[in-house]
Amino acid sequence: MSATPATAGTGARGRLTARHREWLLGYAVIVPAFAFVFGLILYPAVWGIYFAFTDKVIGRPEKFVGLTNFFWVLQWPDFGLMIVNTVVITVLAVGIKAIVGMTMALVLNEDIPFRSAARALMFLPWTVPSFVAGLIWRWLFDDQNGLFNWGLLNLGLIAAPIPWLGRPATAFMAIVVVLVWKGFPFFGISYLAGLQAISTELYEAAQVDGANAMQRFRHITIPGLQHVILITVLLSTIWTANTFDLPFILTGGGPGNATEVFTLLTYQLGIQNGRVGDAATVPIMAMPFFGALIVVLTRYMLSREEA
Amino acid sequence: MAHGVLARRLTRRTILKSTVLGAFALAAAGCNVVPGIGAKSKMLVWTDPTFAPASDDYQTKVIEDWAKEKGVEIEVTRDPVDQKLQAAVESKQLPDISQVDDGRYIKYQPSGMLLDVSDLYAEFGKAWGGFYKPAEKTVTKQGKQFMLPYSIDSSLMLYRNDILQEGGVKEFPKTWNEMFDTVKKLQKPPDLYGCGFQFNKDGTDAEATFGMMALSYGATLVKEDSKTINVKTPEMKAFLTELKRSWDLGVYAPGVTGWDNSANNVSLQDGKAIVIHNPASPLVWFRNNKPEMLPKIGIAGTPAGPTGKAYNTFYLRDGFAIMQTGKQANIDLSKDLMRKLYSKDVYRQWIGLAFPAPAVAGMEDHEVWKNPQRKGFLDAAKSGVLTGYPGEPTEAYTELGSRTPFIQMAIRTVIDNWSADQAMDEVDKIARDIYSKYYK
Repeated sequence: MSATPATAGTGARGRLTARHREWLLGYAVIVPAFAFVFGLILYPAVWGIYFAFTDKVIGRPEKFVGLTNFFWVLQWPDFGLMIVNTVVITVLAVGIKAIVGMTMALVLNEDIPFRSAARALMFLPWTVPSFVAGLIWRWLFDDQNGLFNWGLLNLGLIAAPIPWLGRPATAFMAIVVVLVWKGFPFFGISYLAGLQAISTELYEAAQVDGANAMQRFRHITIPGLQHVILITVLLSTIWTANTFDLPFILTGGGPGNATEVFTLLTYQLGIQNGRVGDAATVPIMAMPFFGALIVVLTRYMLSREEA
Repeated sequence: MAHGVLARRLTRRTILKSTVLGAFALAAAGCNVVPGIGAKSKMLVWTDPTFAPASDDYQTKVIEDWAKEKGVEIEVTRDPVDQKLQAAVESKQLPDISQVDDGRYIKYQPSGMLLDVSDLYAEFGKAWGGFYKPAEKTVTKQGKQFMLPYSIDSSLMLYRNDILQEGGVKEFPKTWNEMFDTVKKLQKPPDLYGCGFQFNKDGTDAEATFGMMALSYGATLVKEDSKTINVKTPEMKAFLTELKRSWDLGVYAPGVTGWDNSANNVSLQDGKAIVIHNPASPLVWFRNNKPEMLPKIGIAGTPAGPTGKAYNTFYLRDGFAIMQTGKQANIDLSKDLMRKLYSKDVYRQWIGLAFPAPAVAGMEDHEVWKNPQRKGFLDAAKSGVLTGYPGEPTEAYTELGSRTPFIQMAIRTVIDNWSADQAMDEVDKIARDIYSKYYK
């Protein structure tokens, strides 16, 4: 059998014109992607929204309860604190990730020894599964057998172990530190790719004109990277605000309620108690915020494509 | 040449056919990995790993040997059942048998997916001289049983008897008040602290600790009717006042505010705490890792409060539910397997290897109870209080428990320096919010 010419559709098989066959092929090719989007994103999302308006409990039929779940979650004692914590952690972590990532990119863009190895090494935290990273950092911060306290005690810098995860301020910062450690390579690699797209002639011309390093960074590097910066910050904001695993493993929301974030409430309601309706309500309430970010991001990316 | 061969092979028709065939193949493969859909019929038994692997291995072997004997294809999984059972119940893709504890029973029994096993319960009860009362009360719903209790665990005071003896303390203190004062005298901070209790929601062992302490002060979260919130009482205030006093005595390591559920075990195992309140897992750890330390670990019931009353926790740790899979042949086989696990030799052997107490009364002649460490857990099994005490175990109480209300009050009073009244007000509101979902 040889390939049928696109214009030779005749006879029984010829009921399908070449264009129809092209369409069929096209649809066949997008089936896996469509199945993925529909099965793993759209279908669960629609169910999630539906459940938020029901009293669904695992294993039992649900009934429609309107906005009851939303009012119930809103008056939850820790809800306001969770939102504040989520916002503060996100702003701090994303901000520091961007700064550290930029530093990493600027250094790795220079002709330094072992540059390739350094690039691979700096990318390592991004590749470590969050769960594993959480457990490792939990051990590092542990007050009884943690590496940090062991080192500080042996160096004689402290007389007693510091309860890193047992004090609100240090526990809060521990979460930020781990989020930054895990996420800065994404910024670094993105900025590095962006830096390499900026013409070196611009830097040379600026240098000839007497611009110092800070001026070159401010007037060439930052404008040249502004699109990458916007995309990385928006994406990282969405990912960081949705982070569950690291706060869950590191502090579980403690000490007290100091590091409660809204994803922990979803877990507690849905997974621990099987209250799917209430649990679905929490992320649904965050949807407008994330939706707005996604719209901004998508529009921006599309406008870039058109430009 | 190569290009021509490739061109002949990769026509659009071929791609279309491949896509369709691939989709079918994926669907077929998918069906075989989802239990109960299209898969060759075999028995699925879901069990949890415990802290006594020898007992797990023994039980798995018994089940697999039974399957061979019966000519049954069986799959025994030994990983945490909680989340996968939740998904299974919701999707109705159930295993034939699942290990169920008291928490899961409260959560899933109302779904109607647990088979009525009253016949087996009666049969095993008759063979073993009945089940212990707390176990019977836990599993009996409207006179029927939907799970078979297998073992009972409890949290007891595990303490460094060698340190007490060296300090001239002949026996473990009888009351909380005495205990805090005693360990205060014996501790040597920052290397050794008196108590290894978590003041952190992540350390849920402490919920049982503070819950039992509160009970000994006469404080409960709900009244006997299981529906009326009872947080704001003078008894609760007295409990919180004593807990605050213990904090101010400095008998806790500063890091307890960040401890997770394993940290209290670690504190005893690493010689950093004199006393913890825990099930038997540290004893198993000592047996396997520091056997020379095992004889130095004392076991005592939870101390009493000012009224002289003391309470011990009760957990139905291991139990089995036969699931409503609709496959009668498998249900009959599941019942037969249960008979095997409850047979005299298998059950006794398992108790010897495991650490909890049995759920049945007729095993008190077992030689393991000559060991005082194990005997303590048997005694607690007979008299432990159920979750929800003085009411019944309910879904509402279980959900309230997941908010760790006692730890919450403890944290508020000792870390946030709230007054006892403020701490009680907060938990009272949390409790009322949760109960409003269950009792309109």
